Amino acid sequence: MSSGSENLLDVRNLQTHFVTDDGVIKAVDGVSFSIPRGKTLCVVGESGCGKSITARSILNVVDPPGRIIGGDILFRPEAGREINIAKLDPRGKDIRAIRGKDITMIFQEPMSSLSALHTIGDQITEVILLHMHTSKQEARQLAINALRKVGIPRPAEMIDAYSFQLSGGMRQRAMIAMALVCEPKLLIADEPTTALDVTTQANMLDLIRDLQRDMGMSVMFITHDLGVVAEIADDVAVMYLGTIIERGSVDEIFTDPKHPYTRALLRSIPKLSIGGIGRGRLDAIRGMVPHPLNRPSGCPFHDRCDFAVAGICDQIKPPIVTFSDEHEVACLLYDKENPLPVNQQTVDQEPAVEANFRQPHSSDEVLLEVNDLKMHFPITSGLFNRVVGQVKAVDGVSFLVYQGETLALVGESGCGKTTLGHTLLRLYDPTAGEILYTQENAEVDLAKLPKNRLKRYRREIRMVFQDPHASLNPRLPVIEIIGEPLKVNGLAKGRALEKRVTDLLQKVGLRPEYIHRYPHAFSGGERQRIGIARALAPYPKLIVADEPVSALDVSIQAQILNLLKDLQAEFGLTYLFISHDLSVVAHISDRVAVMYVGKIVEMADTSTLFEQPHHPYTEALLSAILHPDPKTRNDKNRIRLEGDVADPSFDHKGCAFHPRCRYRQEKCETEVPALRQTADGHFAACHFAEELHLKGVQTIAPDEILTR
Amino acid sequence: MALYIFKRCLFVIPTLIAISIVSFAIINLPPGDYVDRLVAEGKNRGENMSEEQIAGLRTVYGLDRPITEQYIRWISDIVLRGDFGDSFRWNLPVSTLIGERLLLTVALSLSTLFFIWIVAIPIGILSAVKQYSIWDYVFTFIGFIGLAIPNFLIALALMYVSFKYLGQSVGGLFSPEYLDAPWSLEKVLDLTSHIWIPMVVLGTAGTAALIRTLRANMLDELRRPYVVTARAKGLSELRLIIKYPLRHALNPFVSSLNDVFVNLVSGGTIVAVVLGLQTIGPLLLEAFRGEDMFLAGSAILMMSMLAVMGTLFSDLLLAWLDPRIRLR
Repeated sequence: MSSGSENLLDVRNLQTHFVTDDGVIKAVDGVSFSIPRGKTLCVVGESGCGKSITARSILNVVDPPGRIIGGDILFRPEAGREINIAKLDPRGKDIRAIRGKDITMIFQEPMSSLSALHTIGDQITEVILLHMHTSKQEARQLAINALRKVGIPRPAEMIDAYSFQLSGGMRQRAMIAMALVCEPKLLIADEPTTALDVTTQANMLDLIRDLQRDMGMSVMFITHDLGVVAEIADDVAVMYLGTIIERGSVDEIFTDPKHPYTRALLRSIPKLSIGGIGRGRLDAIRGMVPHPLNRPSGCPFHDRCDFAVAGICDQIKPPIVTFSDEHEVACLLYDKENPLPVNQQTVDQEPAVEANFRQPHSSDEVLLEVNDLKMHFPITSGLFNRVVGQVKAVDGVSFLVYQGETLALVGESGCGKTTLGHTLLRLYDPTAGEILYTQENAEVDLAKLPKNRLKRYRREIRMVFQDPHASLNPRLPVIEIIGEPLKVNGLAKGRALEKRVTDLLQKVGLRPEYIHRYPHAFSGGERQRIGIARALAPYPKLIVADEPVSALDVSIQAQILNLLKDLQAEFGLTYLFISHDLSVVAHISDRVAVMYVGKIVEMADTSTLFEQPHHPYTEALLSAILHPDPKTRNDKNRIRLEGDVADPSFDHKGCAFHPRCRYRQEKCETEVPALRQTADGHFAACHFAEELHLKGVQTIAPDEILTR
Repeated sequence: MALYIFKRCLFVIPTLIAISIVSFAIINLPPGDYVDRLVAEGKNRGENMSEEQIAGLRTVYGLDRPITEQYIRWISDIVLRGDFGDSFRWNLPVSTLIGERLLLTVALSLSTLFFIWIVAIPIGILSAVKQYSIWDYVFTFIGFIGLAIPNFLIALALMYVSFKYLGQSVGGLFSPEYLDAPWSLEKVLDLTSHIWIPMVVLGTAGTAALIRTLRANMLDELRRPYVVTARAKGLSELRLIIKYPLRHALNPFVSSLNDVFVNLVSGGTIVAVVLGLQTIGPLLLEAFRGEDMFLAGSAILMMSMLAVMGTLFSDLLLAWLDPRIRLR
């Protein structure tokens, strides 16, 4: 424990419990940490580890039945003044004077964290009027200034906008303006960039960092993304099941992680590096975070730990071992008084990585050929709902999908990638174009096929959805969910159906006994497995996976990505993998197509695209990737994309990307660039593809890759 | 917003036309027409009308014209001159019969609505904020009782109480001496002293239902992230609840306002009969029983119009309250 008196915040042995009918949930169970003035502490861990509850406890705004039942939260707004927040009445005047003024919070979902019925300005001036003695006019002026400071264009107008009229990035900026308008001493940010695009995320982190420097405030940043941690943290605390199992400076955590959980988290991230692009198997952490009601005895992590020793780790609560002033670990491996019967060698030993590297797929058998596909949605307005425009969600897209490959579709939200996926399945009727699907050496145009003849193709082309909670019917048991496509297509019934469903469950790594359970009994990762089993059920050929891992924790994400790869190898599946996460795309796909405003702007095989992009948009996307390595932080050469994805209902003159492009020339404003071959197997839609020398991903030498 | 209001008002027109057609159909539903009825009445008195007289009468009343023409004549009389035709039973113009009752019906409906709001909104908030507290259980219990007891039973009980212990004249909206008196300050005061019984009776079930709805809405809203945001700003609980979750919770309730309105106008008939209220409900019932078709059709027309207007009102109120409807 660092000597406390000059820290802005010292949390000691904090306990926040939820008393429920089923028992006491110890969401935060003895957490201690400090935040020095002007520094950033990142709290990381999987979901369900108590990160958010810890953050909310600091302001004592935990929803009932949650309650702080023990510990101290010592807050020192000025030198010599110390307040123990844990001891204040959660509804009293004293804590309300701190909330919103000295300590403020921003949240993950700016849409739901702002009231849609009140203007942005109303919600910002409210804080000012609460904590500062100003008139309404002055408060409004302060709010406008705050909006300007966070980079909202035309703040004097935007102050009267409602949250739903702003884009995701702008909403989060408004949220930050609201949190910073009273110049707080501590900003608590609870996953503030998780719901945003990579490009917006990078801008947001810059903004928080700049404001922190200007205002000298401290930041407590909660995230599950280790790339973000490496980018902004001074100190890191790793949480598992309501306790901090390791904390230290950002360099210590990334270069010398001690706790097996920290190491496992770092290993489970897909890494971008030469040679590493593509195809290794990810080291997933087995199992998942248990429900806090079933907390394992002894070390909470012992049931998922590769180094756990029976009889010790499941019995003894690990003591805190200190490595340096800041670096502390709660693990029995390092307990000097009570050493484990393993030698240090095993700890540092690399777990065997399965040699499952695979050459990029070289089949030239075309499974799907898409030609100039368009999906426009009419915009209606006025008295008689006249069509006044078109949202050109997909606007002339052509590509090939080869048998057995994984083609990734990437781009910011709003670029049309999901609509394209849905159109391929004929969930929409395309406006124009062809979707030629090869079946037994004959081609069928799915775009023009009448609805009643689609059934057969819907069996062969299947979909996996993003949200595993929303995409499973909560009223159906697993056997019905997975068995439905079999029944509908008359592939199996009765015993045979049950047999097939149990086989599928085993294939996706779930126990066959679960066949009669309902979705609510499963965790997010398990539900996604059920979703995959449902897609697999009728022996498909092509699977369209729409952001299948973006709602999952890194550790679970690694499990699902490994599963998808195994299934592809076993059944010879072809994947169309839609994602905004370029690290995941680099890991799973053979080829990548980058979309922007309804069009493909670049397409190439994965390593070519990552190493030598030919379109400035791809370059910017690659540049926005945050590497889980503090050495790459605050890269001055990083490209920042300003503004949002262009409006797909607008008729763009010239290249749709030109307003955000750093290389734009006159020609870009007038002439639409066509997608053309710029190198062998490499397509780009940029007038200057050959002349520009665009930068690919930062290549990290293999020995620097974090593999510990 | 202006376009939205204009559109909404425009959509009311075809609805009203459809309603008028249905009402007219009801008027023409019973076998025979007005002249047949006059002939029958004449026969009862021992007078026999000749074929010519009957045909003459038909021409006078326009009953020999095609049905569409009759409809147009009926509806244009209503729209242009406020002439709804005559009631057979009362031998009075329908407009005279309905006019005052309509006013009383609206007055009763509105006062009941306010009664429901004033009682239900604070209780609904309390039940949600203090979920599973003793107050929540007490009001939940009372609410379910209110929902379960038929209205007319409550009406009878209240009448007994007010007669036995308060010494008030029971039933109706006026004391007997004011019943046919012209409107005066005393008559209005007399009305206010009588209107509370039907108000409470009609409002009980509505109050109970609204408490449950508001409690459920509030419970949903209280868990939303924007509430935590507001709390983290340092707002006091009371201000916070009124400004944020209550504002959001009222939305679904405003959009169901038209139901409340329709139910108050049409659903209160049994209570009105029990209490002897001079509202439209009992008149309509009488009209149906006596095949008084012009009266029945007009009453249906008026009540449907009230329902349509109530819906329009709640739609516009919602658009005013919720920027998402206005601006998106």
